[in-house]
Amino acid sequence: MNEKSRIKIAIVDDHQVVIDGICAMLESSDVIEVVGSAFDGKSAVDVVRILKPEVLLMDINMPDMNGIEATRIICRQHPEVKILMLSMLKEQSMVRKALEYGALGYILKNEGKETLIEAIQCVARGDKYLSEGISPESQITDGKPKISRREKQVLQLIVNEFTAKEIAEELFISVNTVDAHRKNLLMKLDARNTAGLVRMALQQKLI
Amino acid sequence: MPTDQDLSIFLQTRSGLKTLITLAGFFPILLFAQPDIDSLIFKSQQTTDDTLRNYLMTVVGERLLYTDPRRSAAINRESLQDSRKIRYQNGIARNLTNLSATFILRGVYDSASLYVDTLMAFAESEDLPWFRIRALNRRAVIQYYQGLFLDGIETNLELLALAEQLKGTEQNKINALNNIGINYEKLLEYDKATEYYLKALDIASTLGNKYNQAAISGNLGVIYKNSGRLQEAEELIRESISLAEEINHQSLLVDELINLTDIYLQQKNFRLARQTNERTLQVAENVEDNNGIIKAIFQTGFISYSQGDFRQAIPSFLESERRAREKDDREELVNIYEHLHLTYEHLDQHDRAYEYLSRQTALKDSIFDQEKTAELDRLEMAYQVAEKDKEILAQELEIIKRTRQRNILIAAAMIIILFGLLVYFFLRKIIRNTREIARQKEMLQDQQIKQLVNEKKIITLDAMLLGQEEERKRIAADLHDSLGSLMATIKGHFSLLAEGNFEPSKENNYQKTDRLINQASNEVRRISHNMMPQALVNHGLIDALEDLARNHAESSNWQLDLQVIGMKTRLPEKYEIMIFRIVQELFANISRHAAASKVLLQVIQKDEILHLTIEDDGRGFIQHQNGNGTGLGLDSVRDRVAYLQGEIDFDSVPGEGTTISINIPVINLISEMETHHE
Repeated sequence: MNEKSRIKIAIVDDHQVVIDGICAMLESSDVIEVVGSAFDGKSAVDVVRILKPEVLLMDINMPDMNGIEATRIICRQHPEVKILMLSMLKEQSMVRKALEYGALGYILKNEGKETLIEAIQCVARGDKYLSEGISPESQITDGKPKISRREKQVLQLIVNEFTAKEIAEELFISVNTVDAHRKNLLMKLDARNTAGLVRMALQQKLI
Repeated sequence: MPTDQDLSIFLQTRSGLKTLITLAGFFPILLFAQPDIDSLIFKSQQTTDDTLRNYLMTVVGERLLYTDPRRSAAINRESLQDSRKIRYQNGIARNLTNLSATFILRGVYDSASLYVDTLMAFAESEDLPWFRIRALNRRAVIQYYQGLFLDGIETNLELLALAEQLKGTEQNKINALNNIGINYEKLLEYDKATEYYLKALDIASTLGNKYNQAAISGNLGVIYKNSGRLQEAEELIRESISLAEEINHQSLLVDELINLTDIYLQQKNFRLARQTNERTLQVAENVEDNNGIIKAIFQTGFISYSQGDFRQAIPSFLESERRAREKDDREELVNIYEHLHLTYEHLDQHDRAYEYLSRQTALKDSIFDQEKTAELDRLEMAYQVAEKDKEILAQELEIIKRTRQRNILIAAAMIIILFGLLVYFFLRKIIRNTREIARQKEMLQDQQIKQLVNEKKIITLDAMLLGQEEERKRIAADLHDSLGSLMATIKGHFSLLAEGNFEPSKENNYQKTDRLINQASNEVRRISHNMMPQALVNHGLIDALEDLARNHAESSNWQLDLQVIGMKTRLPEKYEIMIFRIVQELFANISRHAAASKVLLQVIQKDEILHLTIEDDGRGFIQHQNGNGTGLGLDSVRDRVAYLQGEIDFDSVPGEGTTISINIPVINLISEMETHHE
């Protein structure tokens, strides 16, 4: 295998153990060559500028400048570098931010040697790589707010012409809470008043 | 003290006396110098000296006393005002003296009395004894005219006593004594009258005042004549006549000649009577003394009548009648008619006698009527004056009444306005005070509320600190129980590896150790994430909540429903953490106890409210039993919500699930953020 065909990588992590561990893991590999390493985000920028690695393994949790922030700077200055995030964290928000800032892949630190090499090769090709069970897609929706079960109870009682006091007695809650539910219902159903609430309740068959 | 002017007044003061003397039986003798009144008025108009002008006008007033009392009164009245203006004492006194004289001469005695009283008061207060004497003189004259003879005597005696204290009052004494004599004569006290006449005559003789001597001698002679002492009377009248001739006082001479004729007639000495009477007529004609002439002609007739020669008497009587009628001398006419009536009686011409009797009676009645009419006129005038005074008084009273009414109205209005103002200020003050009190109350309430809030915060803070302590304990337990035991197991396996003890089992030591290390690193990640999620610090509440929800969904196999509406800005980190902890706690509860398959998380921010709904379809719990049953979890949630001044509602139906609604007022958080940033 041609020397040049080996993928040059650099590792950024604030723990020497991690760097050593990865180096040991990849030592025997003939497709990947570790050309350098850095302990924080700032020195990572220098490493990229001087050693020009093809792929950068970037830890997220680091003092001073975290991996996501460093990713943003490096990608802006050296867009040719492919960054593979290497983290213990698999939180969707992290993944999303990292990808947003220019990282190409996201791999968890507890992945095995083969997975790691595969991920590096994938990224080096310019493809995305995400560890299993990791998704950058948010599950958050912002459509019509759902009416909770409790709110439906309150709405039912409002339609039944219960007063706030009667509702409070019926549901063993304070009148203030009833009022809070009523306000939330107005907001959620986009109604202006109680009559609007009743209309919407019947229209949307909520009760 | 008496100047030339005072003397001049003095002389004129005597004229009052002279009138008295005349009334006592003499023919009127008006003695006063006829001054050049026009030149005096001219002089007074030329001068710029107020006092001199006042003085000159006073003199004019004095000079006009007898010829034109009305004008004199007018001038004196005007002069009196000026005198008062310039505070000229002498002028005031003289004007008052003159004014009283004018009214005496006009027979208006009440007005005269008024001025006399004023003069007296003024003279006493200003200590002017000479004017007191004059006032007393005038008072005596008025009393005489009013028939108050005893009062007149008293007044004159007072005058004499006062005159005794002063020098140069001989003339006043003569006047007073003479006046007393006249008053006694009126009272028919001839002895007393004679006594005072003699006293007066004594002083007059010492002084060598021939006019006085002549006048008093005449008075005395008349008394003697009337009391039948004809010899003494003749002597005195003769004395008087010689004095009158000496001083060339014609009118006095006429009077005395008539008196002498009367005496001769009583002595039946008709020759001397006729001689004397002829002389009377002569003198009277010389000085054009009409009354004297009439008297003399009448006397001619009367002499014939006395001689019993009635026919001889008639022509003279008729002549005197003609002249008396011409001069309208009524008193004389009555006398003449009486004698004509008697003469015709004697001649038995009864028709004529009756005619003259009738005429006499008619004239007497007319005189009486005239007097009565004059009296009535006077009374009428006095009445009118009084009425006018009443009217004026009534008008003044009316004015006073109106003024009073107006004043009362004004006062009432002012009181009302004042009262209104007082009420206004009072009310304003009350309102202000009330406002102030209300404001202070409000402030106090605010303070109390703040205090309560602070107290509540402290309580919730305490609870939270306690919660944090509990959390630390749990983390410590976590670390010790899970990570600690894992590490211990890993170490054991690692020792076996180091000893080269490889078990040829399904899972060898190396693989076991590798699995355990993975497990441990996951545990570390979990614990670390629980302590402080990276996402919350770096990317905010929503990302952190999503991560949290997904982690739970993954590990507990939930079907997750995440709704985020209206969250635009980040909240202060402190509050984001707190809200995160609330949700974390609630999710942990669901994971631990609910066995839910569906979980809903709603985060909605509308206006100033952040609304959270967490709903699951798990087992649910009975609230009151789970108040403590859920342990630290729900209590810390309540504490945090309370700290954020929010509201929380748990609704759990066993078998159906649990809905938890939390409303947090965001505006407080934002405003607090701003304060923190300051």
